[in-house]
Amino acid sequence: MSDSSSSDGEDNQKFLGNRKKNLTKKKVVTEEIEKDDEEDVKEKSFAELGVSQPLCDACQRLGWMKPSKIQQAALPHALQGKDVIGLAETGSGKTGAFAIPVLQSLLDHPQAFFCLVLTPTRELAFQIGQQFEALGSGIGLIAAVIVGGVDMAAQAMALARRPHIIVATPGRLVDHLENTKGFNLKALKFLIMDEADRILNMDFEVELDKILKVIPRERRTYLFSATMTKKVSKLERASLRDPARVSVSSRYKTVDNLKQHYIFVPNKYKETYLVYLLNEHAGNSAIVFCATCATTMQIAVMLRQLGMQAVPLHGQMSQEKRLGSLNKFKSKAREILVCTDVAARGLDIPHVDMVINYDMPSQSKDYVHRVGRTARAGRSGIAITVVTQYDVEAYQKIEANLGKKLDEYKCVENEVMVLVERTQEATENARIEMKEMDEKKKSGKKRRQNDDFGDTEESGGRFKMGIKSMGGRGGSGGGRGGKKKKMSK
Amino acid sequence: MPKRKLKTPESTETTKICKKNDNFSDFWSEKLDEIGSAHLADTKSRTKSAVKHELTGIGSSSIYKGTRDLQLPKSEDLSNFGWNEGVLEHLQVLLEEIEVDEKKEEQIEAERGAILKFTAEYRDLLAITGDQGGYRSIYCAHIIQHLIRNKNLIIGNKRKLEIASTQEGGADEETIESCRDSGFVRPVVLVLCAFKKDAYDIINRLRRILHGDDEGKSEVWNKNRFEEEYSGPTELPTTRADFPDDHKELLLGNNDDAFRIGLAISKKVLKLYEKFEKADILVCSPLGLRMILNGDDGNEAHLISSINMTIVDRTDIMLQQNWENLQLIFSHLHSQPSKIDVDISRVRKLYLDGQSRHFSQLLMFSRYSHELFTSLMLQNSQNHRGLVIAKPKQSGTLSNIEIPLCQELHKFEVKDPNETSDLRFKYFVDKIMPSLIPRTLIVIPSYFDFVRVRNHLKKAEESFVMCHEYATRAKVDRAREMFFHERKSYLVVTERWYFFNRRHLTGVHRVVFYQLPSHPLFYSEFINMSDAETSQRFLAVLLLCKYDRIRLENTFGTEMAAAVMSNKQAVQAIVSQ
Repeated sequence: MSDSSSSDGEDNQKFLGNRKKNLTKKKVVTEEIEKDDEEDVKEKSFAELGVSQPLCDACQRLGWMKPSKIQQAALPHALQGKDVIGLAETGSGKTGAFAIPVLQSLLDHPQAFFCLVLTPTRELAFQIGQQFEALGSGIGLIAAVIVGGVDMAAQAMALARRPHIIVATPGRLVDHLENTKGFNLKALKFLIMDEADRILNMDFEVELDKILKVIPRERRTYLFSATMTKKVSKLERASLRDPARVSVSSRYKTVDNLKQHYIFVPNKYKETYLVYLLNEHAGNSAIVFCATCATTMQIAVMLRQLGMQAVPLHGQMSQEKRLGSLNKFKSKAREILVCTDVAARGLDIPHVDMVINYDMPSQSKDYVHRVGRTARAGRSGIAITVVTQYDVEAYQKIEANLGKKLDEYKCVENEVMVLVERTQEATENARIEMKEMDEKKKSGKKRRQNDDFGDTEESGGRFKMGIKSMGGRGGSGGGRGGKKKKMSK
Repeated sequence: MPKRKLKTPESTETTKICKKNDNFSDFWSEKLDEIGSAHLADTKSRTKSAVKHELTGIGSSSIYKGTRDLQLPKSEDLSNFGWNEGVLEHLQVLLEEIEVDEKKEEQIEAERGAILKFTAEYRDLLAITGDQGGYRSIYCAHIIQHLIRNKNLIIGNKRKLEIASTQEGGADEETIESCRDSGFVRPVVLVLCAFKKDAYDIINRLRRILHGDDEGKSEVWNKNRFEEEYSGPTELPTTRADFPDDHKELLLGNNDDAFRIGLAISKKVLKLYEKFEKADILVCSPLGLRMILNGDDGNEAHLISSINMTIVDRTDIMLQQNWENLQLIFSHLHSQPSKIDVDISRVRKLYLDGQSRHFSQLLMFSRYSHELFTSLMLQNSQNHRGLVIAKPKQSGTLSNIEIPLCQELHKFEVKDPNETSDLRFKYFVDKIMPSLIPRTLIVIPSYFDFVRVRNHLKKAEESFVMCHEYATRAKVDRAREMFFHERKSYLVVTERWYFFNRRHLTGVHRVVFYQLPSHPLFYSEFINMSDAETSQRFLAVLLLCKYDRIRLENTFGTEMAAAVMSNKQAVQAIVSQ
């Protein structure tokens, strides 16, 4: 174990609620963190970022007194005409980050069908539409919201007015591109893909591909996503040209040797913090340890709902399935392995960048075995233990046996909180999927081999189509039969 | 007979001086704001501000202002309409071949001139006229002229867009916006008429306006099918020789009242039986169209969402059909469509803004006035070009009465028009029924009033029989026989039954008019059925209130109607020698 360096003074970081009284205050070491954009140290006004006066007035009117972090980071690049890819969550102010450059450009070159904003959900589309109209109310802006569940003829009439901005869910937009005569996007100047991870995760890949084929290559493109998945990365490579990358989160670029941390979180937000940690270390391999087979499966499915590359490994899986998951993880086809102690015991699992103890190990020796999966053979690694209000005693025992106090891992609380809604949504979907698996199991399949849970990838794929039928896109999207073609690498 | 010509320029100098009007462009280029739209929709306010004028040709008229003052007709010639010369020439031919009573020639000329002017200027118009061939020829010419202008506009814009799209950057905003020229669907003209024979006549007039009389030049698709399905007998059955002229007219030709046909015009080709989605003109009976709006044959209301011009021909006959069908059709006009199948970049902004009702002309023609015609017009006329409702002075039909007569007029008081039916019924039961005598004919124009009175007579166990439009022929014959042989005291008849059957009723000694018939001739016809001894004076009893003014004018003449209405006595007697 390496000794951590100490900093001057104490850092009593606050987060949701106070710590339990049993925990004593302790010194926390502040890690030196590289920042993506050093210029962000100083906050600038909209005007200083290059926003034109009419739009500064509009922001003032809306009560946007200061640019948010994402706006600070994105606006200079966008206003210079660059493509932008932003890592940002709902509530971070990213709508302003893309709406302001669009409107500024629109003022210089007024045109119908100037900008297309694609969003995963109807609700988000309506919100963004409203914000565009609010920002643009002083300059005669016309925005149309094109989503499923609304009368096609009424939307065709809205498109007939030739709005400047279209905010759409991909499925319904494709319906109009294919069926509404006289409507095309050949003159489009801006494409915004908001919450791209959700767009791709909600089975809109075919529609998105159709849209990308009929809009001009010569355009500016902004992509925003809360999580950076492989699909998002692929979309970025295909659609953006030399984009400026902006992020509101700080992250470790490198990890020197093993670092051991704990986070103290409300049990209610346990899944959210897990998602936050994995997202912070996106692109790194990770093992997530759970206490039970059921938790293992649920966490794996939930992470897949969020577009993360997770496979489960637990004792109730058949040997064949377990080896399948392990091989995918080993070959780095999947970045995240969710498993139980028993299942992982004795397996030759290669080096991983990060270990997360989602559930508290019941014995100290299990803790040692778990964290031993990382920082091996001189390579770096990090281990984080999730501690809830119910885990304090068990955790203190482990610390006692280790003979040292672990450092608290610092989370940016407001960034965690913006993930709550998404995580709860994914958790609920995972619960539904697992219930379906369970019912399938009870339907009397005789062979033992089929009693095991199916390959989560396939079942996930089937379930995604189910999500669509449950109103993910809505409206008359037309039947899409047949299997979804697997994306080749 | 000497040929009658529409006025033409006397000299080329006069032609040069005349200002060229472009009614088509004026109609479409009006910029209508919310205030203008609200004004056009405010029926009460427009009624109050309507101006009465004696208009040459169409008589005393109420003029309802549009967004601009309506220019009263002056003696102008046709060239000021800016119409296509071929259309004018062919219209002249059609008008000239109509036989006109020499004594009425001057009046009819003036009437046609007025109708032509208001029609060509895209005004809404309710005209009372018997010159069926004349007004039909005029509105058919207007339809053709409108479609010629419309198609030339669309073709010109299409070419303009094609040229612009080949240039660098494609068509610019200004070009695209200036090329909006269409509605949500293709049909732009709706002609409603009562019978297939009317459609037959109208469509042949359209063809002749379009092609002239040179058969070799004209091309008409599906002509044989049209002749087979829409033409009818031209010979009158001998058993009907002594019926009134208007009833004979009813019997001639194809009088099927359930039809609808789409017409398309393309490069001088007239296509009949075109699918409605691809038709320019819809010619329908109210029943035929109603069936596809939200009826057994479909839900295609979007097909009449972009009508620029609605013509209702012979509302007086439609009154005897099912008026509710007409009301339902109008409720669907200008509604937002459930389906859009055109190039949306060509849709006029006014359609997107829900203003199409202000850019649509409504023409209604009838042989006589009626309160329902005025009501339908006022409820649906929101044309920014204004509205003219003609109500020419009537001479009445009392001169047709052939027998000595005492007319007993009972006026009952009505304060709220919604109470009219109840008060009429109450007056009839309290004041008229106690003094009924055997051999009394009771005429009830409205079927709904008829049902009410019939039920009351049954409950009171009165001795009566009925002739109504839903009764079978056998029942009607039996009823007439029982009344004639005095086995039943009263015979109750509806106007619609009488309109379609026009049978002479025998054994009548007295007649009670629950309400004046809509049709002006029926009053005298019922009275002339009297079988009373020549030594006795026939008694006709008539119930009326102030809302029967139009019917009274139609039958008694405008002047006598005014005298009757202003007389304070509740019961008036008019005795003829």
